[in-house]
Amino acid sequence: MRKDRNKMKNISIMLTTVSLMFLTMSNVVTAHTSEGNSANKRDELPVLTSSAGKVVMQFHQAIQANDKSKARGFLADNVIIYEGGRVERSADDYANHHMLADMKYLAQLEVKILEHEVREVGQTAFSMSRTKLTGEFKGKEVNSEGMESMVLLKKDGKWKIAHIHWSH
Amino acid sequence: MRKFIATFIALIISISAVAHDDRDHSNKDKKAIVDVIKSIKYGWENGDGLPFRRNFLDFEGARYIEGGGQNAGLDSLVEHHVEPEKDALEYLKLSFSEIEVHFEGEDKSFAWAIADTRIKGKVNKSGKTFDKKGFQTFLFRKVNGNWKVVHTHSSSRDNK
Repeated sequence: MRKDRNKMKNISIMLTTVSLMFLTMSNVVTAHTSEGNSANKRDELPVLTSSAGKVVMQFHQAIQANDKSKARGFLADNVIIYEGGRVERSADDYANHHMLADMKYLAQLEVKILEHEVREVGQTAFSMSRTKLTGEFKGKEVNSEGMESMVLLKKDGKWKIAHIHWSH
Repeated sequence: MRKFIATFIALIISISAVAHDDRDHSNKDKKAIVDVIKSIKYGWENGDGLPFRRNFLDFEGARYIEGGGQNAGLDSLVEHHVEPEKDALEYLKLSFSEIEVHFEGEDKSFAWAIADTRIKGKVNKSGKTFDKKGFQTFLFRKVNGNWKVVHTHSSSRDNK
């Protein structure tokens, strides 16, 4: 009887494993078909399973970790950045000016991602995210929502950020 | 020698024809995108949801960001933002300038457009006027030969 029960348990574990594998594979297929040009297909990718999404996350982490060179590496040389009513038209411009202020600002705050979606369309991807910023900066309380849109382009197998629009 | 010259000339002509075709194609696509942006301007200024329904790609997860907030989905954008402004504002003037369009992908079926914006209006209830300037990002995908907006992001500040 116990043997039978164990057998049943093993079968159940196997079935669950096979189902999970099937679901995982289905997700991978969705990710690949999404790279076609059909807008009818649901091409929403979970951020962490999308290679473009990983780049966005790593860029955010580099900014928060004060790692200028790593953050600069995710930007296309001719990136166009809209932030706080200003425009910066190259990665070097941003890295040498506003990036440092962003790093100082974010280092003081708690940043919580409320929403993040990334869609890949062939060699192009776009990312939309909403974050909650709380804490204190220069003696002032901060409690705001930040909005971010990005365009990423894949060149030589690497995703680079070509455009960022930040607002809050 | 003559054969060589004739082949060379034919090659030059075909290369320039292809380049011309590409330029024409790109100009046509740029015009189509600018036309969509003009119709969006009309929609905002007149509280008319139709240009949005015609030119936006409605899909699950669509987000339109403006002024620190967002509308999730096309219905929300039209019903909760565009159309109510007709009653809430006495007038709204919107202008897009310095429009830049970038085409991406091997088949150039993705485009992103950026522009400087100027927004002026008057609130009915309070009588207050506003004058703001800022930036706009539009993302497009070409679907069945038509450019469709998949995402927008607008940010502005008081014009001082």
